[in-house]
Amino acid sequence: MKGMMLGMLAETNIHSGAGRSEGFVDLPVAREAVTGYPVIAGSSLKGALRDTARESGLDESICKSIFGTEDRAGDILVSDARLLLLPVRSLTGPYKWITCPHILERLSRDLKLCGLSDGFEVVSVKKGEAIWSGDHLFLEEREFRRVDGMDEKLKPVRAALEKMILHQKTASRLDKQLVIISDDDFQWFASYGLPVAARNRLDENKKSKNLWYEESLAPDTLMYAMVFERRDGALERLKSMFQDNPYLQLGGNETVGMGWFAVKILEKGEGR
Amino acid sequence: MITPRPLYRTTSEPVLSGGNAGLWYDKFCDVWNNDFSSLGDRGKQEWIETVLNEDVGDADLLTEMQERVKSLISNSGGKFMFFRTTAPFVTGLGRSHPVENGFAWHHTLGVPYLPGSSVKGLVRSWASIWKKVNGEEIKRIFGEEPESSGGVGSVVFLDALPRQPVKLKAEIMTPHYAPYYQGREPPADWHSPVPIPFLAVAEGQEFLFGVIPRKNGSEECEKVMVWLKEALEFAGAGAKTAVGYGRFLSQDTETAESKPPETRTPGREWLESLAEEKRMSVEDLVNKSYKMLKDEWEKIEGQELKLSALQEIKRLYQTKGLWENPPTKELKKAINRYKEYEREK
Repeated sequence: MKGMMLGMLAETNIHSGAGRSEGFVDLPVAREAVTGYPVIAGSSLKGALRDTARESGLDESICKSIFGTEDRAGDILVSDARLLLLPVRSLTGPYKWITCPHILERLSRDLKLCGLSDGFEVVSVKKGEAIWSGDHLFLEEREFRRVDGMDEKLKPVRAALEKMILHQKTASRLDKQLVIISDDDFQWFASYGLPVAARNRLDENKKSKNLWYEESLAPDTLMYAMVFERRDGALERLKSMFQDNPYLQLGGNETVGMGWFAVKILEKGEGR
Repeated sequence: MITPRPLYRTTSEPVLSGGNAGLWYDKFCDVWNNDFSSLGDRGKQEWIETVLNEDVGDADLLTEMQERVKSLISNSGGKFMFFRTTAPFVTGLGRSHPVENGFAWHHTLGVPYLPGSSVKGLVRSWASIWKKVNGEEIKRIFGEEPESSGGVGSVVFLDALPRQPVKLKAEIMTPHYAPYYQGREPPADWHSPVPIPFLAVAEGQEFLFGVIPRKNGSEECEKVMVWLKEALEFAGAGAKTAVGYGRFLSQDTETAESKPPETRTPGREWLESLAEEKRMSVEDLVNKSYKMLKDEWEKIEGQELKLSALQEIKRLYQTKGLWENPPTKELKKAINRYKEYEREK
């Protein structure tokens, strides 16, 4: 089965919500039940792809064959969009892109699944330590110790990640901004390191009518999703959609500028 | 004197050196408390001063983000405009902070910004309250109020981001009748004035505002940009607009009024004569017939003219955000050729 990967770089804040709340934040983002990492459900992604297809002027009958109808399955399979790099605020530079061994191992497996690479060796890192190119590191209010002599091992990771980012200039920042921390530490940031905005509506006298707290994924979050085809040609169609316009909007708060991803398509046999 | 400290014990003294000023301002002021007394009288002012030493934000990152936003806008048929603050501008005062008044920081850029939702609210109220635009049109452009069945508006409002690192300043508000404002007592002479310092964006800082049409909203984008311009100039954005804060002036009107006409380079003259020959505007020539433009450019013989024309073309693509992210293959090809020539010279 032929597959491709979509590298999805957030251009704006993304609010793919859970729709319910258990804590202080009224509208948290959706998270994976087991890992607690933010995620975009395959169904949301597929819906957004379908909408983009319709908007780009794709014929309705072709749309139906690719995405399916109530009584007929579509020609493509769409995975969840998984988290790859989380931007976290730092005192050395505006932010760092953090990731962890678990996420990289999953990426390595998924790259193999799509036939994009033979995978790469995943480094291990202890709690409280960070693998990165600089020395001292503050992420949010927490301090991390740098692990020495890991530069060689960072290279394949960086190479794999670079291919997922549409803009060259953005990708070139990986050198100084990529940080790998332990799974446990990462989970803490995935839970508490996301931007939370307070929003409200004002009446004519500028009195607040309501107030709610809303969590979102920050711009420059990097995610990826896999798409497979059940029938030849469906992926080609999907790909051509992004050729002229590489942007995809998904999730809530569209009209206040949220939900824009820059999409980079990765295919087998193509080195780009 | 307050010492910055994170919430956890650390081995080294934290300093803000080119880091995220928002993180610093919010989390390293380690005196969070139930009331605002813990910083003391001078403490609030001192904490605000820790972010005034230099302009906040990373210039390269801001430029990159701006190129990306412009490219998103031009790919989606939207519009953008630069505005400059003509008064102090502050937003996010309602957020909690030991200094008493919070500040809205962009999460990854670490700079002040105006969220898309604020821009939308501002333009909506300007259009419906001041311009008295009819209800149907308001509903179409801004969507229906949440109470009703809820149609989605036809225009997307992006966050307004600063163009360069931002200069901040300390401002002071001095309410005289605190118990009255809190609804406890009528205003009276025996109430004491209480000076409260707060952080604001200084005058003269530039921001990029952008809108994108959503499903057939392209005509409405132009209308919305006109409203936005008026609203920013007259009504103001953010907090304390009733006392003159948050006013912005469009950069376009400013350049038209105060700058002498640009001196024309040989490249610009060549472009204009070519446009005339082809009976098109320079704009259309650059944006629609890039292949023809490239072919004509290849024919130029003088090296100096060729380079000057190249620079002119590059500038025009850059203002549209197309130079780094050409939306079509054909344009990409043309731009790659230009870049190649540029490297050779």
